[in-house]
Amino acid sequence: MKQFLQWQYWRAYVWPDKPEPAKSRQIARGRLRFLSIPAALCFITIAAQATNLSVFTADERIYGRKTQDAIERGPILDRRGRLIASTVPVMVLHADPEKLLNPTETAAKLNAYLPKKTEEQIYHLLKRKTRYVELDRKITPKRHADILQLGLPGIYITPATTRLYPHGREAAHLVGAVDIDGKGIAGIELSQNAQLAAGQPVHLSIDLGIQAIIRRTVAEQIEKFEAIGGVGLMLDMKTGELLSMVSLPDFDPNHMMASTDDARFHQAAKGVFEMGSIFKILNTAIALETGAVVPEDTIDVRKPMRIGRFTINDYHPLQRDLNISEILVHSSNIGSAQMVERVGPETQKAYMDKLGLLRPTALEIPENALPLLPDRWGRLASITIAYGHGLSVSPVQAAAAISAASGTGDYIAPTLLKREAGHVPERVRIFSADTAKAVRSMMRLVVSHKSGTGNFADAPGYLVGGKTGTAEKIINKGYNKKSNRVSFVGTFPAHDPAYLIFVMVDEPKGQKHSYGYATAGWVAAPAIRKIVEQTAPLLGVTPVMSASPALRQTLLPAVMIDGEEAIHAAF
Amino acid sequence: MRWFFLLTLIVAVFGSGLYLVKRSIDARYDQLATLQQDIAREKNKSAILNAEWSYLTRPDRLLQLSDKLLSMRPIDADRILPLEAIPVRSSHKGRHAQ
Repeated sequence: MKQFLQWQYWRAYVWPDKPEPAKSRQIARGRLRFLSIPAALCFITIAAQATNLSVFTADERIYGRKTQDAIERGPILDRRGRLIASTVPVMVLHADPEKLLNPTETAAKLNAYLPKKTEEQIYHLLKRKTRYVELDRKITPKRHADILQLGLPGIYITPATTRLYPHGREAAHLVGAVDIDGKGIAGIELSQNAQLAAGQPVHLSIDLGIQAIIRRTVAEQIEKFEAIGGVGLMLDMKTGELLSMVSLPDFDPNHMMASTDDARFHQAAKGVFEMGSIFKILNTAIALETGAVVPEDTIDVRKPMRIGRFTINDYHPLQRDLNISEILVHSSNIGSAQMVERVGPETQKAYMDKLGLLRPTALEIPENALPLLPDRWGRLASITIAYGHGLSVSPVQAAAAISAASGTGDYIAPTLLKREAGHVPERVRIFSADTAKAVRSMMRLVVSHKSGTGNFADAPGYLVGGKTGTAEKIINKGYNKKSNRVSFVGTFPAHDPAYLIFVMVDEPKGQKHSYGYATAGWVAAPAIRKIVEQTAPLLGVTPVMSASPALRQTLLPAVMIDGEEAIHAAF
Repeated sequence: MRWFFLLTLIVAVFGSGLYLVKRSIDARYDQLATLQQDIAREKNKSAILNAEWSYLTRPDRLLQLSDKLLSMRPIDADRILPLEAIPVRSSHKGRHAQ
């Protein structure tokens, strides 16, 4: 023990006596050799791993990081920037049937989480000879967690994207749809696919607010009159932009497969119909423009017209001569027929062609109807076309043509894409300013005069002008008196027409509240009034409550209706 | 021998330098990846929120809510006047009238 107390003992550890040189060198060399082996091994390992990490696996890691996702499909927006269609992330539940341990058990376990499919359906999907079956595209976070808890081999959940239409039915037909791979298959989604696929947004001319008002109003009329469908359009007459395009019945584009073919049919653009009396607007415009008649001319409508085995009648035959305004106000078939007799079939056809009624519109959707022309555009055809039978066109075509006749006289091709402010649309002059002025004055009288057929369309202060149209539907190659298609085309304000509204209701039935009537004046005209009253403030149209001289000058002076001077604007 | 040491030193210095540069590049790649993930996540969130906002403010829903909760209806045309129709006192009189 004593030795521990001596400091020499401790010094030997820290500063030992110098040993014999030869011997100590030998010991040192031995130790060095021994230690150099693990040291070298350590360094080699480090060097090898460093090389491995920085050279060989680096690309892999960098590649793994670069999860540059594919360009997302661009959104579709309305004219005020409201989202109509957008791409949102979803969780997709899918399976690799080859890696499943027990399809029967897997199907049984998954059944609780897939309410849309039966256990049998899931089982059949899982038994497919493929490496990928999709089970559900919309997995909520809760179900996601639950399914992960099941721990089923061969069942995966991967992030993906889906196309969502937040407004649902609102603009379903015109927006269209995409397939499972996100490619457009109908409507704007198809026609603007290139732009959308490049991630660019598409701005529509549609205003969803107006769309909702028109859709609701048309739906109300359909319900009130137990009708089977309807169409509602609003056209900006100065730019050709469609502010609203409604086709009923409609469908929810988020659940496309759950809808019927009838509901998916885009009546406003793809449907062609005989428009009935609203064509008398065009007939009047053509007759005035060609100089076949002047507004003061009178025509005898006392006797029905006979052409071959056909007889042209009026609904309410009048026993006197009618002037051109009266023919429109009373919607006289005989008068319209007499007018076109003075114009001639060739000229009529040429005007119909210029008005875009003989070929599909250039509307930016694939669903553009081919109009149905008469087999032979002879005298009889020209007479029936004068009051809207024998030529079937789509509502969009009719709206654009009537916009030309009652607006400035220029035809502007309708569009579904938003025009930039200051954009000057291409105009084709068809009618003179005088013709258009006469036509819109007469249209105003249809609504404002007590004898007119469109009284219910009058929204006080907004100077609505328009025309009713009631067309018997063709069923089994013959006209059916019981089932009609009624429509109303209205423009406002009459002194400076800015907006055109078209409403069509299919097969309305007479009701107690309409005294058994199911005519355009009872069914479609009130819808126009409701639409004007609700949308005018949104469109910035202020009502006029006094007839200023400047305002009077925009309409025809002194029109005689039923032997009295008629006032266009009954304020 | 002296040259060998010098060369080793140079190699060691450059090697370490290269290694440090490489490390910092890697670190930045990681940062980039994190940021990209964050951006993607935020984009997804914003896509969902935009869609939800659009869904909740759909005009037909607002029309229904307004019908149910507010007793508003279209204003009669005779209650709307253009601004010019309102007689305005001249600003001089209006402001300094005592």
